[in-house]
Formats: sequence, structure tokens, C-alpha cells
Amino acid sequence: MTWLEADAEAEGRYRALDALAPGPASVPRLVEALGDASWRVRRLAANRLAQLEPSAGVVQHLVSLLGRRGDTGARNAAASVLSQLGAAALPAVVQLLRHEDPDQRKFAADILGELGRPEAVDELISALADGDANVRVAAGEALGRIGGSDARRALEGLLRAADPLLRVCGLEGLARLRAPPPLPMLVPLLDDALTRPSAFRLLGQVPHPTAWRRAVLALRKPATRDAALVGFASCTPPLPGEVEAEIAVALKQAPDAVRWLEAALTSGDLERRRGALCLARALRTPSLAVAMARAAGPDGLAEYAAEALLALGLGGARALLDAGPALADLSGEARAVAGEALLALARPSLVDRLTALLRAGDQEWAELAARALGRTGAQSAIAPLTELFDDDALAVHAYRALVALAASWPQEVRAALEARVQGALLPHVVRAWAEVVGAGARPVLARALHDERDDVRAAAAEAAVFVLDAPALVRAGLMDESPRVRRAAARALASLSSADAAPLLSHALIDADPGVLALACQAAPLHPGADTSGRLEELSRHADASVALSALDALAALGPLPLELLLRALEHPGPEVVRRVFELGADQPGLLPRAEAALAHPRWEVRAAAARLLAVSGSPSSLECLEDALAREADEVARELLTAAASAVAARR
Amino acid sequence: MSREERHLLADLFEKACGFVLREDLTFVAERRLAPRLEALGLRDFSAYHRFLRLDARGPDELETAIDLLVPHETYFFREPQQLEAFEAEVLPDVEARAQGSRRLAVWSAGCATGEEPYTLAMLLVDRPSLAGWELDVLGTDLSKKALTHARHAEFGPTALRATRPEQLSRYFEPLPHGRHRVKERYRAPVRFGLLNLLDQRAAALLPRFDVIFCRNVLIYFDPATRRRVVELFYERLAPGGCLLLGHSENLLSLSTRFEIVQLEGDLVYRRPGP
Repeated sequence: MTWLEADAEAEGRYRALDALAPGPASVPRLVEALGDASWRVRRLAANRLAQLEPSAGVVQHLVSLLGRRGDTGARNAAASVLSQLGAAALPAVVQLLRHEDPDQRKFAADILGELGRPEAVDELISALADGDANVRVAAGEALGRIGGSDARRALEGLLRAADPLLRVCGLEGLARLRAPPPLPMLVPLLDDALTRPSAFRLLGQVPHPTAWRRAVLALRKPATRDAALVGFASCTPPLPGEVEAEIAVALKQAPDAVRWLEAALTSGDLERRRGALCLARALRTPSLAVAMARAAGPDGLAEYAAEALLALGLGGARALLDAGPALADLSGEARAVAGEALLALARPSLVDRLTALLRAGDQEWAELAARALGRTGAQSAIAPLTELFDDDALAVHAYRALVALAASWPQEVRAALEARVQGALLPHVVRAWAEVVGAGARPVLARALHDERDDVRAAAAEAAVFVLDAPALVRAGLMDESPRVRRAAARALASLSSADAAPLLSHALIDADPGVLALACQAAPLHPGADTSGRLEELSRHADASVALSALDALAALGPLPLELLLRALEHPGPEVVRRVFELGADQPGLLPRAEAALAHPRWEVRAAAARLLAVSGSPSSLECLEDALAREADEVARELLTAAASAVAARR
Repeated sequence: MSREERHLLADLFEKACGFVLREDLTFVAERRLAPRLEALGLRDFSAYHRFLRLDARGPDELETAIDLLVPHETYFFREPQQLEAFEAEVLPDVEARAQGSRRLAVWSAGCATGEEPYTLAMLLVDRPSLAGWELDVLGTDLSKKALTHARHAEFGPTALRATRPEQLSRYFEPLPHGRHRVKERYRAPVRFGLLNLLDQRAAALLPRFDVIFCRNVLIYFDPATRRRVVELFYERLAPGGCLLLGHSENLLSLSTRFEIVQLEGDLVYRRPGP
């Protein structure tokens, strides 16, 4: 047992520092704490200092801490603060670049790279000729962070340096800037084992057949193919067909290429996985399909993986479906990728495999299989789908899939459903029957409307629009004791003719259930002759946000919204309603002061909607409000909209 | 899914359980939620957001959506160096303090499909110094689906990718298609429960634990949520009890109440106490 004694004194110092009131008065204590023996105390001090407005004296003191040899903790803490201080730190750090101690010059170059200020580029270029190799490399790395044409030229200059570390530094800097040098300058570096991986990384950024061919050639040799893989990770997909064909030829000549690719596809390294996906897409070997789905990983590669997997075509889909338990074992990201491919590649020849997936015992894959079966367009998909109605989670997918198949196989789908409407009815059977059979579904719907299950009655009310005497069935639905059935009937109002809908709409608009009211509001603008405006105005003040929102939308669809109504709606406690007012009222100058005030609303989506309104309607005087709001805005999306609004208003000045 | 739609949904998820839906997961979120939109007959993600916020069925649907999006992937014997440190350095200390009661309680918080609590049970059950002790390993997660899987105790090759052959034969029964089931002896001390770590009232029902494992869970939370969850762990640890986090996680700027203890093979956080 090697517990270290807990450092109670350090804990005390940490708590004391944590309790300091923020502000300039805390600076001396914080600066002192940068030299504390406890890393936690130093870290806390550095974070606090970085949040303050630094004086020149503090900056100078921080710089002086960098010179404390033997006190690595204090030096690192000071460097951390300086690199977060922005322009205020620049003069002192640039000055440090000329210090006699190479350690401090290296610190200066590192910090300048972190600061990312273009004003430091000239000094860093000079530091590339420093007498100390570490300083030269640090200066090169800093230039790769800052960028700009001068930095780029200086990094290109490093590619001819005698020191291989500097050459690598130049390559990595240019790769970071996505600024490849002229190809003749790059090619010699591909042959040097030290510079090869970085050179290939940069080569992949050159969108030219010659560059791709160099990378393809490197795939043929075990000694260079890992570096080439990195190069393909940098490519912007898709590669031209002839390059993909050359990749395939190169890989097929290597006996272990598939195993090598499979390992790269499932590695923890994002760059390797990306490169491997690019190559696997070109190789089009179905046996890699599962590994390609796995390559999605948790780090944002899913879309790329899905595109690569789709390129495998039907063979890839078959391989996925034949993977058995491996499919059940996929992560959420990999499932998203494999599912995307299976839906897009669903064809009649996959029906048996998809049916097996339906029955494999994995609920999520079963849902996917049901959706995919509907896209196969195959008659043989009808039977397995018809069996799914008894499964609550799958029935909805079976219903939609069968309706899709009925476009090609109307009689066959009808025949399959016929048996299901003879006995006890199920909601999705009723829906499917009505959509497939149309007017002839009347007797079943009438029976369903008297079913003891309210979900069956709801299905019948909603599906009534497919038969001839829909109004009677919808009316029956609107009079049901179950809100679920009344909501379904209200949803059907949108599909009735205006003449049929008008009396029913008036009835639905006075229902007690907010769900029914919201749906009736949504149907109202489709029947403008029904004279619902008065009731909709009342409902725009409804306490339920869904009702108020739907009423506002309906009124907006029926005609211009009066300012008084919008102002009243702004009093609604639901942020969705407030947001919607700003979305609907951009043509109302009277809303401008309210939008300006809403820039301080606690919800970002309301602030964003207000910013959007001000972008199109704001007066020059709105600019100050927008700039104030921008200064305190923490939400990323709202910031973007505020910035756009401020630019738009400034341009109108 | 537009950027704003993703942001609106992310807000809902974060408030419900602390899960942060990152922008680079938009593609995955779209594909995972697509069947839900189809099932509900909704035209886009704005409508889905409105449904989640305003429909009476919204709370149930939110649970389903979170279940689909929160990663559940984990595996047996993950981070073996930390497990070795747990066996060699943490357990002797915990055992010494619990000699009187001869009872050991371990919580695997955010246990997903159960690999971690079963791994812990495997380490505890066969430990000679714990023979005759009452062992209690609790696995909690906010996903009903993951917990169903966990109780089933059957796992495929991905979950077993870090399990050595001798561990496989010792702790598991083979099943067809390369799958394995945890032996009854190692299932016995493990129980599971549904718990949202942000639900203070539900968490108050938890007993005190000697050790809490919460590995690779905090990474999915925003800093404010992490702080709340870490406070909960502090409250639920017995004095002297230890919190073990994933190798990429730490309590830096989250809590100063824990002592940081450097072991030979790991760093753990300890609630001060005897």
C-alpha cells in the first residue's frame, strides 16, 4: 500500500486561493501562487490570472518567472497564463525571443504560437535562424499555428533545411495550414524515412493525379504504406475513379492488404481510420463492410464512413447482413452508419437477409429491417412485414413499409392485409388497410370506430380521410370520449374539403383538450372560409404553449398579424411562443424595442430569434444593443446570429 | 438537422441528463432519431423538438431519444492498469476499514450494458480476503435498454475484446455465435438500477459506498453537470471511500473536497475520513 499522505497544507492554500474575490486586488496573491509547490494551486492561480486584465507589470513578472530554472511548475504556470493573455502579452514575449537563455527563447516561441498573433510572424521567422535547435523548431511550430503568406513561405524554406527536425517541422506546419508546397519541393521528402509520414500527410492535400499516384505507389511497399495511409487521410473525398482503380490494383497485389486495412479501420487513431476508409472505399471489398461501419468511432467520422460503405454497393449490404452477431455488437455510431447503408442499398435480393434480421432479436435492427424491407420494392417483403403488426414497436414501420410496397403491389398487399382485418383489429392494420384499399375500407373503419380500444378508434378516425364519407367518421371521432381519438380526428381535419371541414373545425376549436385544440388550429388555415379568426385570436392567448403557438401560426397563415396581437403573445410564459412572435413579426416596427430587450432573454433561442428580427428590421440605433449583447453572449449559435445581425445593421447605417 | 435544431435538441438532452450532443455527432443523431420521426409522423427535427417540449408524450419520447444517443459502448476488463491498482492498493485499505461489518459496497455509475459491474464482481468474488463477505455491486444507468441488456448478462466479441482466454473460461459460459454469458457466481452480487445522475431525489435513495467507479461517463457532461455529479459521489461515498474515474478524466476544477491519492498504478480520489 503506497498511499501518499494527503497534503493538508496544500489543500488549505488551495481553498484560500479559491476564496479570493476576483479582481485586481487578487493579482499579487495569484502571481505568488504560480510558484506554489502544489500543481493544483498553481493551476488555479494560472486560470484566475488568465481571466483578469493584466498590467504591464504583471506581464513582466510572469515573463520573469519563465527564467526560474529548477522551478518547472512556476515556469509552466507562467507560460500558461501568458499564452492566454492575447495582445497584452505580445511585446514582452517578443522581447523574450531575444533573451540570451535558449530555454527562455523557446518558451517565447511556444507562447507566441499559442497566442496566434500575426504581429509576431517576422520575429518568429528571424528565430528560425536561432543558434539553438529547440528554438528553431519551436519557432517553426509557432509559424504553423499562426499562418499567413509570410509564415507559409518561411515554412517552405524549412523544407530545404539540413536539420531533418526542421524539415519535419516545416512539413507539419504547412500541413496544419493546409498549404502544400510546390510538388517538386515535396517529393524528395517522401523518400526520407524521417520526413516521410509528414510529407505524405501534406501530399494528401495536393489535389492532383501526380500526387495521388505517388501515394498509390507507396501503398505497394510495406515500408511506406502506413505513411501513404496518412496521406489518404488528408484527401478530400471522393477521389477520381481512375485513382480509386489504381488504389484497388495496388492493394490487391499485397496479400495481407485486407487484414492491414481492417486493423487500421478499427484502430483508435482517427487519422488512420480516415485514411483506411478512403482506401477501403476504393478497394470495394465487401468483407471490410463491418470494419468500415466500426471506423465511424465516437469522433465525428460517421458521415465519411457511411459514404465509403455505400460505395461498396450491394456486396457491402450483403456482408453487413451476413455478419450475424457482429452486427448486434456494433456501437451506436457504427449502427447509424451500417443502417444508413442498408436503407440506401435495400434491393429485392436482400429480402431474405432482411427478414432474418427482423427475427434476430435486436429491436433496433428489427426496426431498421422493417424500414428497409419497405424500400426493396419486392413482393416477397410483404409477408414478413404483415407478421409485424402484433409487435407494438415494429407495427408502425410495418404499416409504412407496406403502404410503400403497395405502390408496386397493390393487390398483393391488400390480400395480405385482408386476413388481418377479419378478426380483432389493430391500429396500424387499420391505417394500412385504409391507405391501401381507399374507399373500400369503409366497413372496416366503421367497425374500428366502435372498437373498445381507443388506439384502434383513433386510427380509424385519422384514416377516415381515405374513404368517401370521411366527414361522418371524423365527426364521430371528434365526439369520442377519449382525447386520443379526438386528436386523431382533429388531425384528419386538414385533409377534408373546406366545405366538410368548416362545421367540424368550429367544434374542434372549442374542445377541452389542448392537443385537440392545437391540431384544430393547424388545420384552420387550410380552410380559410371557415371564419375561425376570432377563435384563433382567443387561442393565441391560451396557457398551453402548443395551442398558443399553433394559433399564432394559423393566424399568420391567414393574413398579416396585428401588432397588438403579437405584443400580447409576447407576454406568454412559453419561450417557444415568444421566439415565434419574433419569427412572425419582422415586418412590425413596433416589435423592435421588444426584440432589443429580448437580447437579454434567459433563453438563447429567444435571443437568437430577436437577433434574426433585428438583422432584417433593426434600425441604426439597434446596433448598440446588438454589440452589448454580443459582448455578453456565451451561446455559440446565438453569437453567430448576433454577429450577423450587427453586420447587417451596420451595413444599413 | 440544421445547426439550430441540433442546438435545441442538445439543450433538452443536457437539461434532462447532462448529456452533451456535440456538433460532430449530428450525422449520427439524425440517423439514430430518424425512425422516431417516422414512427411519430413528424416532418423534421423542429417538429420533433416541439413534440419533445410540448406534447404530453414528450417526456417518454425524450427518454427514448436519449437512450438512442447516449453511447453505451464499453467492455470487460477495461483499463486493466486501473483495475490492478484497485485490487492491489485500494481494496486492502477498504477491507481494513470494513473488517467489522465484513460488507463491501461498490457502485458502478453509468454502467451502460453492465460490463463494468460484472468485471468488478469477478475481481471481488474470487478474492480470498473477501471470502464470506457480503458483496454488493450496484450498476446504474439512465438507459432502460442498456439495463435490460445488462441483466441479460450475455455479451459478444466487442464487449470481450480485452478479456484474456483464461478469464473467458473462468468467468463466462460459452454460447453460440461467439457470445458468452457471465457465470451465475459472478452475476449473484451484481444488481442494477435505473438512475439519472442528475436526479437528486432518486440519488438520495442510494446507500453509502466504499468505492465508486465512474469511468468515461463524465466526458459526456458539461462542466456544471460534472460538478453536480462529483458532489453526488462525494455524498454517497463512505468516509475514506474512493472514487475511480476514467484515465482521461480528472476532478481538476470540479471539486476540492476530495483528497487526491497517488497510487503506484493510478490516481484515485478519496473522501477524507478514517
